[in-house]
Amino acid sequence: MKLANSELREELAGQYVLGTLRGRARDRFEVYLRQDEDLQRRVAAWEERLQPMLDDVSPVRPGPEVWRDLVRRLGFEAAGQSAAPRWWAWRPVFGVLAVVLVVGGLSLREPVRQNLLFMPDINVTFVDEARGPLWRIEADSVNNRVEITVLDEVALDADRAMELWLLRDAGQAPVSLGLMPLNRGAVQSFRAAAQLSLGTGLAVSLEPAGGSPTGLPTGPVLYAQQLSS
Amino acid sequence: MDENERIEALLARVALRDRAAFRELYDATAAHLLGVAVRILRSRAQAEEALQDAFVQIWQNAATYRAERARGNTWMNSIVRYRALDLLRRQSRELPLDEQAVAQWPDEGQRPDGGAEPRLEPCLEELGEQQRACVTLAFVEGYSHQELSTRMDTPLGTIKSWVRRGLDRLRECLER
Repeated sequence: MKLANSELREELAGQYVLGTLRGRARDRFEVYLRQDEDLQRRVAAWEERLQPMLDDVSPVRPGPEVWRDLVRRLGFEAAGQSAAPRWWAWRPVFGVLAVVLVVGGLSLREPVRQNLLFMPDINVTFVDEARGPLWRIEADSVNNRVEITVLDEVALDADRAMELWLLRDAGQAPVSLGLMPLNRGAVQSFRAAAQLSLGTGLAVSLEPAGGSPTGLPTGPVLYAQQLSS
Repeated sequence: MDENERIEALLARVALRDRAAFRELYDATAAHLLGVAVRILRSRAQAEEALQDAFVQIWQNAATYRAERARGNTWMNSIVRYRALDLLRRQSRELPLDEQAVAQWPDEGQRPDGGAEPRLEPCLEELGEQQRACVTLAFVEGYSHQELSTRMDTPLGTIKSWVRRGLDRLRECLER
């Protein structure tokens, strides 16, 4: 399957969405699709174009066992339970990008700090499975200050940013703590916009440049860590 | 807030692992999505399997959903359709399919309207009858080229060119 030709790309995208691209050709197309943004755009456009044909499909109400089995498959404790969101239960979405490791609690290796305005009682290191430690985040929940140290250069497209969130108790939306610095060795120190002592976790999401336009995470959560109180 | 905005707001909450929002999303969309899967799979049991698989994906991938790239209901419809098409490969469905369901679609005067987006329908209208039948049977009922060829009693090569031209003309019309 040669995909250099724009007409062919358009046709394959259309036939993929229509469903007439079948068998191994469909499998191969899906492999391309995963990494090819141009194809993704074409497929999304076709989905949008053809979608209205489904508007009048007669609904069929699923039996109650469908939801019950679904809940079991997803490992929810019980159907109907846990009505409140559990911000701390964020899971990294992309297996490859994911995985977090943490050094929690007070860091004993750090020399005693002279600055009485910054006595961190939170110390989290976000570690990428593939790349190793990326950031150390120290925070002083009494003085409400945060210090982020970039341990390894984080390469990111110019139209993207990483945003740090403070997760709070069930039912409360996370609060943005600002954008993550990306240059190796950079240290960013700032006053938190939310009461750190009320935080139950920290998370980093992938966002458009400048940060989430909505005030809530809009992109995948790449790193997350619960804070013990 | 229209239905799609509501779905997108729910998806944003599902992305944050909000189970109550997930339940709400399921209640709001499952019957329509199961209807979509039934049209392709012609089996309630298989369609329910596709629906369940789709909701597992929706739960797992909600954080990758981008409202600026796709409407929420389009995104969900697509997940269900692709899953149903995957399951279709496991069964070799016999033609004729469910003739009663097929009869509802897409004969003259029985094309989608009502809730449908105003733009697609006139464009479907512009296609010749055969091209229109190919496109709608493939998209809504999951017909393969081969199945279209059998049902329309037309050589495979002709069917393929109807499908291709049908898609081309639809796009041209929608981009006018």
